[in-house]
Amino acid sequence: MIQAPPTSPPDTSMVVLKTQNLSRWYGQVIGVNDLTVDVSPGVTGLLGLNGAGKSTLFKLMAGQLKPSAGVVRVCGHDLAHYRGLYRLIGFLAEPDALYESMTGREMLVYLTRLQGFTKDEANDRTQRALQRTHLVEAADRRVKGYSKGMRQKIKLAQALAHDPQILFLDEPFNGMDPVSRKESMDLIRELGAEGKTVMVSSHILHEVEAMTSRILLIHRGQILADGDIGEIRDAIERHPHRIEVHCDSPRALASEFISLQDVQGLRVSSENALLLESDLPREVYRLLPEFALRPEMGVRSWTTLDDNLKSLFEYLVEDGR
Amino acid sequence: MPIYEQGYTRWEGEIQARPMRFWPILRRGFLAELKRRRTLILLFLAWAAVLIRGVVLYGDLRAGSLLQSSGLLKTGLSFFYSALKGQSVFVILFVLLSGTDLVSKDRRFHALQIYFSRPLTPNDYILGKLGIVSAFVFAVSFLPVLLLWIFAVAVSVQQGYFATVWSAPLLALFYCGLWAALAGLMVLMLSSVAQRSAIIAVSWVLLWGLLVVDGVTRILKMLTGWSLWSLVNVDANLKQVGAWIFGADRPLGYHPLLSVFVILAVGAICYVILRKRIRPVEVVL
Amino acid sequence: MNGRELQEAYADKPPATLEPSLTIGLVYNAAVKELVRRKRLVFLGMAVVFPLVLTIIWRFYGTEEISPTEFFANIGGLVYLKALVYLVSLFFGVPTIHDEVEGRTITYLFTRPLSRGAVYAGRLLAVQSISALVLTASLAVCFLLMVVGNAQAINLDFIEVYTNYFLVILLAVFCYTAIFAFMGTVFKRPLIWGILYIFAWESTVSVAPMRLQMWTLEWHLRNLIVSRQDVQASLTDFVRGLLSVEYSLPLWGSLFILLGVVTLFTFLGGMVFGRKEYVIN
Repeated sequence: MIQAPPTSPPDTSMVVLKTQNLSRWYGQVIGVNDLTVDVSPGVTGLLGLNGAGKSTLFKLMAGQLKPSAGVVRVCGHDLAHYRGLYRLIGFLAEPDALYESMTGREMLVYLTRLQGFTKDEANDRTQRALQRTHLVEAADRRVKGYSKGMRQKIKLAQALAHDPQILFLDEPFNGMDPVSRKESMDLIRELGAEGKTVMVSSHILHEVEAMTSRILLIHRGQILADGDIGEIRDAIERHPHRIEVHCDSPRALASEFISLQDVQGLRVSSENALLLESDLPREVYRLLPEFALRPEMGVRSWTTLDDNLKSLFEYLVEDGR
Repeated sequence: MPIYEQGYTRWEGEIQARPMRFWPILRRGFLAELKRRRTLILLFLAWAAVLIRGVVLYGDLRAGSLLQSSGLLKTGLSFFYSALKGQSVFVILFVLLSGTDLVSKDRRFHALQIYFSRPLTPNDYILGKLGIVSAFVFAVSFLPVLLLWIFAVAVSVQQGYFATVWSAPLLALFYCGLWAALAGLMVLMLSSVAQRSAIIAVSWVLLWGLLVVDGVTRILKMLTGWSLWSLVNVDANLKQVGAWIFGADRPLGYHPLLSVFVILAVGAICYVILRKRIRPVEVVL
Repeated sequence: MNGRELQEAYADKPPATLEPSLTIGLVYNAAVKELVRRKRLVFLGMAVVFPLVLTIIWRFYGTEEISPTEFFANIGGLVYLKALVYLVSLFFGVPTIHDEVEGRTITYLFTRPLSRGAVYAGRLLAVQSISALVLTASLAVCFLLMVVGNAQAINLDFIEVYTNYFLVILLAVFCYTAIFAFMGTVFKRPLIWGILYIFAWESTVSVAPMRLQMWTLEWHLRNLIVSRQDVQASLTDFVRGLLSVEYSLPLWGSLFILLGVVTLFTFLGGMVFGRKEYVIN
C-alpha cells in the first residue's frame, strides 16, 4: 500500500470515521480484506476498478452491510451496534430508488423527521436542503415526474438535510447535466470545507479530482493508496514523472538536461516538444523557468503529463496486478 | 470460411427442424426452474402425497378392500381421478412458480427482440413457454398418478380390476393435457399483460375460479336457482369435464359439453390476447 | 460541531435512536398515504365489489325466499371469510416490507436512527388499517344495501349475525396480514408461499379429520361465529361424516389463540426484519 507521508502530524482527535481490520467475504470470495483506515474531515474520493471492493467498502462504512470481521467506528462507537449514530450520517445510495408517489418536499420532510426533528424543524431544514441543491422550483411536484438529474439532486438533498457530520455519496453525479454537476461539486467542496467528513465513491476520475486531492484507492479488496494525490504520485518510484516541454528547439533543450542526475529519460516527441522523465522533478521545475528566459530555446509552455489522478490510478492498478 | 470475409455469409449448415424450434426454450426454462431448491422440495412433496395414497390403497387391498366397499375410498377410475384432484395444490403452485415471470420478464428486459431475431415464430415461442409450465404440471399430476396406476394394477388381487381401470392412463393424459394447456395459457396471457408477478399470480387465482369466484357463484346459485352461474368458474368446469370422462360424480348441474365449450372458449381468448402481446417490435408513438 | 467536539460530545454515549412510538407514527402515516395512492387499492376495490353486486341481486330476486340473516351468513362465510379476507390480507400483507425492499427505498429507513422493529410495526399497522378499512367499507355498503328501503331486514337476529361476522372478519384480517407480512419478510417469493398457505393449509387442513383442523386459523374463526347458519359447502360425504365428530373450544379460547397469533407473527416479523441483512444493488 502506498501511504503518502503526512506533511504534518495527523490530528487523530478530528477523525470521526475509522475502520479497524474490516473484512467482508461472500462465501469463498473476499470482498474487502483487513482494512484499517482513518478518514479525516474533508472530501475523500473512494476509487477502484469494478470488482475491486469499492462498493463493498462503501456499504460497510455506511453500515449497509455487516462486516464479517473488524469494525467501523463513528466517534469511537461501533456503527453496527448503535443505530443512533445515523443522526450523524447522511447517505446517498447509488440505486435510483425514491418514494415515487410523494412530492420532493414531502419525501424530504418525512426522511428528515425520521432523524428526530419536529415538523417545523424538518420543514426549515427541507427548505434549506432544497435551496442548496437548487430544487426549490420542483419541490412540490411528484418525484415520479422528475428527470434523472433532479432525482439525483433530491437524493443528495435528503442526505444533507439533517446536517450530518459524515456523508457517504455513492456516484452522486449519475445522470446530471454539466451545470448540475458543477453545482453539486461546488456543494460537496463546501461541505468538505465546513469540516464534514465526505466520502465520494466514483469511477469518473476527473470529477473526483475536481473536488478533492485526497483519495482512497482500493484494489482486490485491499487499500492500494491512501492520501493526497500529489504526495502519492511522488511516492511512486517505479514510474518517473513525465513532463512535456513545448519549445522551438527541443534538441537544444535536451542537450541541456542530459547531464542532470535526476533526469532518467529524454525523448523528442515532436518537432516542437520534448518529453522528460524524472524521479525528482523539482530540479527540472527549477531549471525550466531559466531556460524559458533564453530566447534561443523558445520555451513556450510545459505540462506534467501524469501528475493527475488518471495516470496515478493506472500506475497503481498496474503495479497492483 | 476465409478469415478476411467479414460480411454476412449465408448459413450453410443445418437448421433445427421446424416442428422442434420451441424445444430449446422449453428445455432451458424447465432446467433453470428445476435447479432451484424450492422446486425440488415441492416435487418431493407432490410425489409424497401420491405415495401416501398408494400406501393407503395397498393397505386397503390387503385388508379386503374395506375402505372401498364402505365408500370411504373411491374405486376404479374414480380413485385415479380423485388422486389427480388431490394434486391440485401442487399444480397451482407450479403454474404460479414457473409461469408468472415467463413472458413478463422477457417483455421487461426487451428479450422478445432477441428471441425473434432467431428463426422463431411467435407460436414457437408460445409453445416453448407453455411447454415449461406443462412439463411441471405433468410432473406433479400425470406422472405420479401413472405410477400409482401401475402400482395398483400390480398389487390388485381383484378379478377384473385391470379391465375396469385400463383406460385410466389415457384419461389422465387427456385431463392433465387439458389442465396444463388451459392453466398455462392463462398464466402466460396474464404474464404478457401485467408486469409484477404478484398481480399476475393473484389475477390467475381469481380468473381460475378460486377464492372469490367460487363463493360468489355459489351464492348466485342459491339466490337465483340457476346452476349456469358456474360457467364463469374455470376450475369447476375443468372438474366437471374430469368427472365426466372418469365416470365420477359431477359437481355441476349442467351437461359437461357446456364445460368443454367454456374451457375451449377461455383457452382461445387467452391465446388470442397472448398472441397479440407477443411482438418482436414494440411501436411507441 | 467539528470532529473534536463531536468526539467529546459522544465519547461516553452515542446518540440515541428515535423513540419507537414516534418512529411507528411517522412510518405509519407515510405508509398509509403511499398505500392509498397505489394501483392495487383499485384492483382490490374491484374484487370487494362482488358481495355488493350479490346483495343487489338479493334485493331484486331473493328477499322472499332467503331471509337477510341467512343471506348475510352466506355472504359472510363464503365470500368474506373464505375469499376476500385472504385476498385483501395477501395483497396488502405480503408487500409490507417486501415493497420497500423491492423498491430499494428500505435504504432510507436503514440509514436513519430508527429501531427496525418499530419500522416494521409502523408498516404492519398501516397495512392492517388499510385492509380493515377496505373490508369495513364493503361491509358497511352491504349493510346499507340490505336495509335501506327494507325495514323488515332490521331485526335483532340480523343485527346479531351481522355484528358477529363483522368483528370476526376484522379479526381475521389482522391475523392474516400479520402472517403474510411475516412471510413477506422471510421469503423471496412470499406471494407463492402465501397462496400455498391458503390452499394447502387453511383450506385443506381446516376440513381434516380429528384435532388437526384446530391448527388452522379458519377453524378458530368459524368457532367465533356464534350464530351459525346453514352455510353451503363443497364438502364430500366422506369429510362431512368425519366432521360430524365435533371438537369444541370455548369462544375465549379461540379469541386468545387468534390474538396470540397476531402478537406472535408481529413479533417474529419484527425480529427477522431487525436481524436480516438486505443487500441492495
